[in-house]
Amino acid sequence: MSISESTARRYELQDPDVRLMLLVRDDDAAAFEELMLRYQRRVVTVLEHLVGKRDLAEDLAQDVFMRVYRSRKSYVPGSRFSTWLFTIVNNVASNARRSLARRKEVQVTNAAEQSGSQPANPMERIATAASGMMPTRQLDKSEMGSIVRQAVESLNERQRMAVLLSKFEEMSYADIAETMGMSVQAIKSLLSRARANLKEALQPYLQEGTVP
Amino acid sequence: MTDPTAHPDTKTEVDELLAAYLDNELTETERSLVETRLAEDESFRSRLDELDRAWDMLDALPKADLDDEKFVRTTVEMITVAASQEIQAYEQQRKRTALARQVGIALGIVALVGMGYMLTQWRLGRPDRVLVENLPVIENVDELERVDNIEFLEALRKEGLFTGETSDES
Repeated sequence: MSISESTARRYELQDPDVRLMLLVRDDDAAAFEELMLRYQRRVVTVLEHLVGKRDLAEDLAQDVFMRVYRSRKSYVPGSRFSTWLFTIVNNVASNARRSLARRKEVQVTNAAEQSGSQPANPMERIATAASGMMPTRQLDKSEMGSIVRQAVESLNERQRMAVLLSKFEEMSYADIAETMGMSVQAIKSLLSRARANLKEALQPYLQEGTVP
Repeated sequence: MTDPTAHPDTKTEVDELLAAYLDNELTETERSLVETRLAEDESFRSRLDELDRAWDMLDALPKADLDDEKFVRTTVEMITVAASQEIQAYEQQRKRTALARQVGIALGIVALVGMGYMLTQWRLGRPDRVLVENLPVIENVDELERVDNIEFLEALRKEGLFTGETSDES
């Protein structure tokens, strides 16, 4: 898709990260490091919630930044920098998930056989998490983090990505749609269903963060 | 646009409207209508509250705790290694291309020289070939000069004497 000069100019004026990326295009190493410092935690956080593994998330984040660097010469600002960056993140995560899915085809069956009483469904795991048989008590921070993480994992891949971009990147529906290659209306429905699913999964903990 | 003042048939429609409201994705008019209904409708308000609180719980998600300097350093090192490998691959490709070009030029020159040689030989050999073709006539020129009957010579030509292909040979 070609990007008009006026569009490129507009994003250059509006978005300081676009200006940094244009410096990267001109082989400014310091600008690239600055961009990494600004985004690496955000990228790793999103990737970790998408692929479920911290080490893998860091490797993938490095892959993302390598792709950014390799694409620098052809970079033309057609959107906010974060939108462009998280489009790459989405693609890298999708590829990684496909690879993981192929490798896990056998492992999943084995794990299910070995897990015994551990429920395979994330929603069920949430219900039994954090000592469900114990008397009502206040959840500590790590317990709450674990429960919320499982709730996010219970979402399908697209809902999860949309939620992460909306919640942590504060992206508009239009930007999320561009990042994920979907229509704005589709994102609207996706996020609505994601919110409802999260509410369903977290229902037992919505009252003052307690375990029943 | 969904009419927020109407009571939607399904929970999905309500959720979509409330999600868009919470995400600040409604127009001023839509927002105003939703707020009016929120003030009047307890179940509508309650659903908004549940969705909003579940959303707020996402703040408990752990954020990446990263050694920033180390991450930058290792990433830059990886890029440097990858760039150096790319340069090496490019250099090798460039050398292969240059070699292929030189071999192509050399082969072209050889082909041209060969063709030139063949053309020259063909041109130089042409008079000899004419002589060879007419050898039967040349060999018998003295006898043929004595023949003054054109019909007889015509008959000899038809017999193929002048081309060396007499009916005896065939």
